[in-house]
Formats: sequence, C-alpha cells, structure tokens
Amino acid sequence: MNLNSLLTRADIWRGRDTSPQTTPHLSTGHPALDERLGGGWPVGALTEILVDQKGIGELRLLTPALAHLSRAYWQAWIAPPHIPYAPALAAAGIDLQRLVWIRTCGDDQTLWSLEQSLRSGVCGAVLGWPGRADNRALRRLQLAAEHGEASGFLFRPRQEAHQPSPAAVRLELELEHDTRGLTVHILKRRGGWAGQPVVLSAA
Amino acid sequence: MLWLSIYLSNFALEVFGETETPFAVRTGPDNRPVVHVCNGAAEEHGIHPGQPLEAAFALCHTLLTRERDRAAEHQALNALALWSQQFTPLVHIRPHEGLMLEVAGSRKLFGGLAALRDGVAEGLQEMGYRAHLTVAPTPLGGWLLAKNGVELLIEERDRLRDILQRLPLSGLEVKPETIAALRGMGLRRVGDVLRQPRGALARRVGPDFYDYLDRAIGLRADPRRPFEPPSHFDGRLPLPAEVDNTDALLFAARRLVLELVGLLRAKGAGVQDMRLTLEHRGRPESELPIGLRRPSRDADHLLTLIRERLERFELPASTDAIGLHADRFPERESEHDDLFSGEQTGIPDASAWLEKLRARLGDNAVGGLGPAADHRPEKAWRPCPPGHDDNTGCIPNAPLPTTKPLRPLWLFPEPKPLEQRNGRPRLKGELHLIRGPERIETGWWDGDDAARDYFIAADVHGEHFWIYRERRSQGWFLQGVFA
Repeated sequence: MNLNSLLTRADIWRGRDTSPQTTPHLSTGHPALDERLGGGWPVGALTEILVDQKGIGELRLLTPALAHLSRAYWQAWIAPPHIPYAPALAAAGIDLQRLVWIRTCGDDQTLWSLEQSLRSGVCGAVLGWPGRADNRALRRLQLAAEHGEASGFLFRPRQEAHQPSPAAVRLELELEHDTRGLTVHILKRRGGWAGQPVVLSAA
Repeated sequence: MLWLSIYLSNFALEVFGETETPFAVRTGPDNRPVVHVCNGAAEEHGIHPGQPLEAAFALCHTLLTRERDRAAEHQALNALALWSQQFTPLVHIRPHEGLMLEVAGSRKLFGGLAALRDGVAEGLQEMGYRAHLTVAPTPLGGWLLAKNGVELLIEERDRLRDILQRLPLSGLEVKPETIAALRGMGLRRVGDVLRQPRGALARRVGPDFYDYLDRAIGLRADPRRPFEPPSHFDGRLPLPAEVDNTDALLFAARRLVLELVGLLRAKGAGVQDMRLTLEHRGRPESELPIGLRRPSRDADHLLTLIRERLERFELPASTDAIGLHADRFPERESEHDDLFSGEQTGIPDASAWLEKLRARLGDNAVGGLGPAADHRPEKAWRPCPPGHDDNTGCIPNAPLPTTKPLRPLWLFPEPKPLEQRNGRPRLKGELHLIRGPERIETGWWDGDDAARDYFIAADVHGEHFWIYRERRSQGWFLQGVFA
C-alpha cells in the first residue's frame, strides 16, 4: 500500500491538510457550517451525528440538504425513533415522493438496510438510527457509501465520541443554553482541523 | 436448413442438482438395482454405470443414490426447450436425451454459427449440463454425430455424408438385430452399407433402415415436430440429498432461474410474479410467492429476490426438491412510463433497491409518506408506497394544511398522556410553554372529533415538544418532538 492510497482511505485523515477540497460536498444550508466542513456534508461518506437529546434541532440540521437532494435522488430513513411527520417534512421542502421510510426489527436488519441503501446508488442521503454498531460495521457502511456515492448520516449517542470511527465527519450536538441555539462540535472532518464549534441559531 | 443438435450426455444425473459427495442414479428392478449413471466423486471410488448397486455400496458406503426420475427428466427437458427458444423458435425435443434447434434463420442474429453454438454451450454449462453440440444440414445426421461425441460445425451436405460414412453401425439408433445382421455380412460402418446395392440389403433389414439412413444424410426430408411452448413456466429440480440451508437451495434455484430467463428472452417479456416451491418429504410443500414491482428478466436480480425471500423464510423441514413457477409474462414496460426509473425527472431507478429491501424486511417495512388533507395532526399524513403509486389514495398535490404553523419532525403514533401539576404539564420536570395555543377543532363529522389547544413546550434541557391540552377533559398530551 503506498502513501497516496493510504491517504485516500476513509479512516485516515490528515489534520494539517488545508488544501482545497476535491471531494464532492453537499451544502448543509448553513453557511457557517459549510465553511467549517470544507464545503458541506461529504458525499460518498458517512457523517456521524452524536446527540443524546431529542428535540434540540438535530434533524433540522439536515433538512436543507435533504430538501435539496430530494429533487434528484431518493432518500432513506432507516429505523427512525418516531414517525417522520409528513407535514413538517413537506414544509421543510422535502419531496415526500422520494422519501422511503424503512422499519426494521433489530440491529442486524438496520445495519443491513443501511448498507443496501448506501450501496444502491439511487439514494442521495441515507439516515440511520443504528442501535449498536461497532467499528467493523461502520467500516462496511463507509465503504457502501463510497460505492453508492451517498451521504450517510448516522445518529448515535454522544458516548460513542470516544470510540474510533471511519466516518468522514463526526459532529457532537449540544443545546446552547443561553440562546437556545444548536452548538455543533466538529470532532472530525476530512482535510483539516475543525476548530471552534459552530452555533446555529434556533429556528 | 441447419440444425444444432444438443445431446445431453449426463442428463439422468444432472436432472438432480449438483453435489460434491459421491452420488449415483439407480435403475433396474428393486431387488437388483444397478448404477445407471454416477458423478465424478463416485467414479473416484471405482463406481461405474452398469454396476450392481450392492457392489457400489461396498466401494463407498456413503454413496447417495436416487431412483432414475424420468418425470423429472421430462420436465427438465421441457424447461430446456423453453430456454433454447431464445435462440430459435423451432426446437424439437428428443425425449430424455436432448434437443434439436433449427438455426439457419437465427445464425446472423447471434453473429455466426460458431458464436451461436458457443452461446448455447455456455448457457448449458452455466445451468450445470454437459452436452455434445453438432451443427449439420440434417437433424438426424447431426444428432447421430453429437450422440457419438463428434462435435463439428457442418454446413454442406456432402461433408456430412463423408463424415457419417465413417460412423460405426453401433452408433446408429436402430434395433440391435439389424446391426447384428449387417455385421454378419461383414459390414462395420455406415459407408459399408451405403456402398451395397440397395435392393438386396433392403430385403434383409427392412426398408425402414434405408429410410433412416436417407434422412440422416439428407436424401429424404425429415420434418421435425416443433416444440410448442406451454403458456406457463414450471421448473422443478429434485435434489440429490435433502437440503436444509438457504445457500444450497439458492444454488439449485439458479438453474431454474436461468431456464425461466431463457423463456422470457424468447418471449421478449418479463416476469412479475413467481412462486418458489420447496418439497419436503411427508409434508405439504412450502410455497413462497415473490412479487416484483415491475417485470424483469434479469437473472441476477431474480436470484437476489429469491435469496432475500429464502433468508426470511424458516424451513419447516429439509427440502428434497425445489420448483419455480410463473404463468404471467407481461411485456416489460417502456422505461419512461415507469414510476421508478424517473426517465423524465432524472430520478434514478429505485425498483431493484426497494425490491431487495422488501424481500428481506417484508412489504410493510418499506414505505413512503404522504400528506393527507386533514386538520387532525395524526391524520395529516398517511403511509404510501414509495414514489406514491397513483392508486393508493394519496393526494401528493393536496394543499398542505400545515405549512404555516410549526409542525414537529417527529410524531408519536399515539398521543401520550402527560402528568400535570397545578394544571401545568410535566415531562420529567416542568414544561415551559413557548408558543401557542393553536386551536385545532375538527373531525366531529366522523365521530372522531378533536378539540385541542396545541403548544410548543420546552423542558429544562431545552428539548422542544409538541403538546396539546384536550379542551373537554383539560388533560395534557405529548404528540411530537421538534427534532
């Protein structure tokens, strides 16, 4: 394995590299976040969103990109914790005709569905709420996302921040107490240090 | 005319699925069965056709055997005839032995005779059949050569005649007495017979014999009854040994799928419903219906669906035969009126992905969302097939009643009653009402009326919820989360 191929691996990232991004990105719809992520959500890679609370804006973080993607691609919501509410999704601009809601029984089915959907090549975004996923499982998903050129978003508890992960981007979300804004800590991104957290104002 | 003769040299063995363990097909009376044919693993133990079964067991006590299954041979040959119609509409069946395909008309289509022959050979090999293939200007001439292991491409009648002359008489399909009589006259090969004056010899062996030779070399017409395809596909594969795992079943299913795909190619059609049947000894068979979103004749795709279906199925008992059935062959839809291919919109074709998910997770696990024109929040959406099939009652273009007021991205299937203290709602601590009330009063006309005041509320951690107070009971309920 030579250095170049090593450097393109999803689980290897270079802290100091500030060269212009060549990998495709999808705008998050939040300019400050786009800037910190080097363009936006990575395409053909996993993004981990580590969050413990529900109801702090963790989905709203994604809706601009999901709305944009739904014009040209399918999107899969796999094993969400509640019913994705159609009126709110439509109000956010997401084309419901391109949204597929996948219910699973158990972690195995969830991981399998994630892999199939990421790999399918027809999904722009794949959102998943995997119960348990070890590094090996995540690596498979990362490869599937590369293969299918999909943006994968995994919602996981914050305690996972201590575990290594092949995801290209790892974010930790927290509620800003004073302003009710959403604080996005960038734990990892490709091609650069993340620097300061981004605070997105409450809608 | 040009005929491609296909002699299936190991057919009685191959109608059973493949196995790596020593395996023999037996024939003969029950009290003295003999090995009819055996596989390579059995041959390695010194087992050979014609051997008494008892002797074969002495050489290999783990030998698997099955009674020769002429019904299965019949069925498999029919399936092969269906399959081979992708190469020509004129197929003739030689019962239990092989096929004859008239290929003069289709040679161009397949890029020449050799390419056509190779295509057939590869297809047969893929299905697990060994065969001798010969092309000749007469059906019988080519057949006799193929059956005797002579594989050639012969286009001229003179050349066929030359080659047939060298064929030993024992290679002909005539009564043993006839051959014995000819041998008695010192004749060994077909050419020896042809050089004799006809009259005298015909009196000895009967006119039918000359008739037969004339058909082989092309002096007499030899019309062949074309195989008429049934309107449905029924493939069945008995297994050498009982099987209780999905992989082995899938391996066997592969041949049936390839046969079906050959038929579909011939018809220029696809398949949308299949039934997979698993036969269990002493139990009713299992039947697994497999439906497709749209017609397909892609073998890999069909196999993927079968795999997913099998993996989701719990075998009630081990399986000793597998079947695949289809009786409707719809034309494949033109691409642009297909909902999933999105030719007009550039949306990629999701059907293969969705089918795979459905096959593994079940139909109900994979769905879409649609808005519904109802002011009651829990009825303002409805499940739909992905992509919104038009006949589901979804109203994709219905005006959304809820674009203005804020709605949560998560909805609970059932509103959850909340604790309250001094008339204020609580959820692991006090909830602060941030916005509201939004009064929703509807539904009296179908007896499911709602009279509620909705609020957006936050808990001490800042999580935002969608809650309401029922006006009649003054009870508080949690219905959604602003995620």
